[in-house]
Amino acid sequence: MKPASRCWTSLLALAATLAAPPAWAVDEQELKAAIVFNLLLFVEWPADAAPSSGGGLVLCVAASNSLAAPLKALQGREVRNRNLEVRELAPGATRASCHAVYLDQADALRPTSVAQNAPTLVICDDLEVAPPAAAIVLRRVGGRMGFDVNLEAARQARLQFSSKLMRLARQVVER
Amino acid sequence: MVKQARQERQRPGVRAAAWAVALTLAGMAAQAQAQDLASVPLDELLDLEVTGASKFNLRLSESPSSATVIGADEIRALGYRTVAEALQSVRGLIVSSDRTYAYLGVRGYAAAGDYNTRILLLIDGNRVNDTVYDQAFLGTEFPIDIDLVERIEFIPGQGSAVHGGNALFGVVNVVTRRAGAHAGGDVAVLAGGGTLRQLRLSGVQPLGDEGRLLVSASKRRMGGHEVYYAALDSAATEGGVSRDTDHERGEQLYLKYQRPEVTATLLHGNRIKGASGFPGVVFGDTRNLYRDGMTLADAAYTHRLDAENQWKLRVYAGRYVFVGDYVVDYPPVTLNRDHAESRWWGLETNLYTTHFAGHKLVVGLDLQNSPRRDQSNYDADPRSEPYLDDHHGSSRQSLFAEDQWTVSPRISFTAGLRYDRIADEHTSSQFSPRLALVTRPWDALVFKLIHGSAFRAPNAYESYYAIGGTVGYKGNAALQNERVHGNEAVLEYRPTQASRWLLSAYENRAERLLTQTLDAADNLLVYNNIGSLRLRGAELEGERVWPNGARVRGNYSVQDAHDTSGQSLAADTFTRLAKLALVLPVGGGWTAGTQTVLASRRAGVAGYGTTNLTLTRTWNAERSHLALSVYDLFDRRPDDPGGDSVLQPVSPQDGRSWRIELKVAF
Repeated sequence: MKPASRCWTSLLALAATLAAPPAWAVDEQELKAAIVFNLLLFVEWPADAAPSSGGGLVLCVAASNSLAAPLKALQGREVRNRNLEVRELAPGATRASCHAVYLDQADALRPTSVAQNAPTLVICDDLEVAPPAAAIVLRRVGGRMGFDVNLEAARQARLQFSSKLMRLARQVVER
Repeated sequence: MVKQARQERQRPGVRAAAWAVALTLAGMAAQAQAQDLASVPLDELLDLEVTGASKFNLRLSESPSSATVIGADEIRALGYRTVAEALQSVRGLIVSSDRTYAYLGVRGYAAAGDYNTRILLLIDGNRVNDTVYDQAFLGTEFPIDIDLVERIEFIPGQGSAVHGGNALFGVVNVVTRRAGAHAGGDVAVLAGGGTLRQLRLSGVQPLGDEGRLLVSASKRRMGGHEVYYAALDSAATEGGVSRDTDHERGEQLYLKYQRPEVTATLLHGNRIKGASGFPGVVFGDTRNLYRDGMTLADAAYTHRLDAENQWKLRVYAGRYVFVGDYVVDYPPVTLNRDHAESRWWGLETNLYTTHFAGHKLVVGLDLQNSPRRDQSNYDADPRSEPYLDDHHGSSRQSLFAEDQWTVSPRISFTAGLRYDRIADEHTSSQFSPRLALVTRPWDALVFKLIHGSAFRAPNAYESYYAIGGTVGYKGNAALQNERVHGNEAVLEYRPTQASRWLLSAYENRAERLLTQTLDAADNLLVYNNIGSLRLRGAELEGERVWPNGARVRGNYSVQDAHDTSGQSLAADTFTRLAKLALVLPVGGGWTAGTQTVLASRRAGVAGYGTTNLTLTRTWNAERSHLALSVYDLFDRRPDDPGGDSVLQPVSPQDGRSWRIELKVAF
């Protein structure tokens, strides 16, 4: 056991010398969180599901999600005259009260309890096979981030996307 | 071991301190940056260069396969007590128990006496099979409390192209809870049939600016059940009822430190389990028992090199101790003891790159040294000279590469290849390829074709365990690697986000399987590469969830195992298997979870159908719960196949039993 433990420490020390990223670096997770936040500015929820006055706009994310921490950091920021409320979901918790849900690869592997016609904006990470309910799919192309829009999913959820959002999308799928 | 590792952690050193400072500063910068980034207009965000590559640690889940994922919510709602019980719900799998260990049968492969050596067990993506027996620990011998499990993934098929040896028929990946979801703690008390008592304390504590430490400790005691062994029913055994021999006690400790880019884990699990009906020992003697102790230490660091490349370094160490106490009547009545200890440590590094358009490429190196793989056997009371005192180390060097090529939005192709060089008494080399084609003819339908090869190197037990006797054992240093080649076709249909259908057909061919036989020349048991199997089958699964939290998953499997070597390796295979798991909110905050497993006849064991029922109530954002479970609700009392088809053909299971758990978070 001794040799292994020694090796452990010295390797960590070695790693340490390489640790700090350059100052100009834009972290992928931080960038994705910022994009998710910005996307919320261009979405209109149906009247019956819009955030009530005084209430927050609820963005749900699984506690184990890779974006949970950077999104949490945006808690309380203003979105469409509402405060952003980032809610960490316990595994399997119902997502009925979420205005938006962000799914990463691990989340998307399992069927989730997002109702078919619920007014919930489903944003998902860059996946080989994006779930059909995902109205916005983040895409990473080369060193840049982009997103695709699925209008059918948006229609099902009765969400209105602004023309600016449509213009910025890499691909708009009508189905 | 625990003590040593702690001392290492407390010795800061100048460089380690510098490292901590550097990371803290980097973390603070990142925090500030996130705040700023959110204020940047969307169109400008889309123009920014990304430095980090996609999360590499999720590669396993992404990889094209027909994986099953069981989340913590299902584990709780369905009352799963162990990883093995959770796996019992997966299509094509059958879990059996000889009352000491849990054994996993996969897609028609289930050989008596195989300690899950042909399954690879991973914790958070890292191999944990020990290096003497190759054992995958899935029952209460698994070193982590089920409450610390975030999800369990089962990936059927040949996993050696990524993970190396043992992944002949499947890979079980247990993903543990992250430190950091909630600061605070919880206490859980648990009671159950067989006078089971368990206490667990867990807590998450912020450590430094971004660091979190998760600590959990648990202790369990169980008196056990009286067990009736029909095959051993005689006057000498007082009617074949084994009393006070089914006892169990165990302790577990789990520490996980997490901060951005760094994860370090230290865990220890120790279990002592009475052996109620081990063949060949004095029946009913409470000193017959097994002890399994496992300690694992692990530290991983992920570093972004530039926009397209990510580098990961991981160092790890493990120790496994096994003690088997057998009361035998030579005469005189003597306590004979098997002792095994394996220690290993290693270094793993990989580079993940998206440099080539349309490709996600990972290349990696894994070096492992197992300086100790000791086995001994002696009489402990009265004490004797050792009958066996074997010391054989081993080492392994592995290189692997996997590329996921997105040919078009609807077609992707994955190719992986791993080279393993294993130095034992002899040195062996092995290439393990894997190819997968994933097509999506339309959005809701995915079609996958998978081909893979996997291997398992002979372990220290098979190669070197040797003791004389009336029926003794001899080693065989000339053993070769086992091989399995498999093909699978998978059709996955997801008409909505809330439902999924899956149809799979597969064929696995196993050759050179290590099989224990009696050498007539010297009357000694010995392993040889003489087994071969052809396994074919098909599986159908449907899964659906509803917005109120209701969930149903059902599957049906048909299997055919053909032993092409005449070693009766296919004897324990059932032909049909059906499972249904249902979770239903029943009002008043309560959820009912029920699981039914129907298995057809295997070898000398009748087919059975068992049903479990769990009622759960959660509060405090699901961090606290009360769970009431009844296992084998209709008291069917099924038998499982025993560890030895001749000496112990069946292993009786508990009938109806109960469990109650209260977890309170604060």
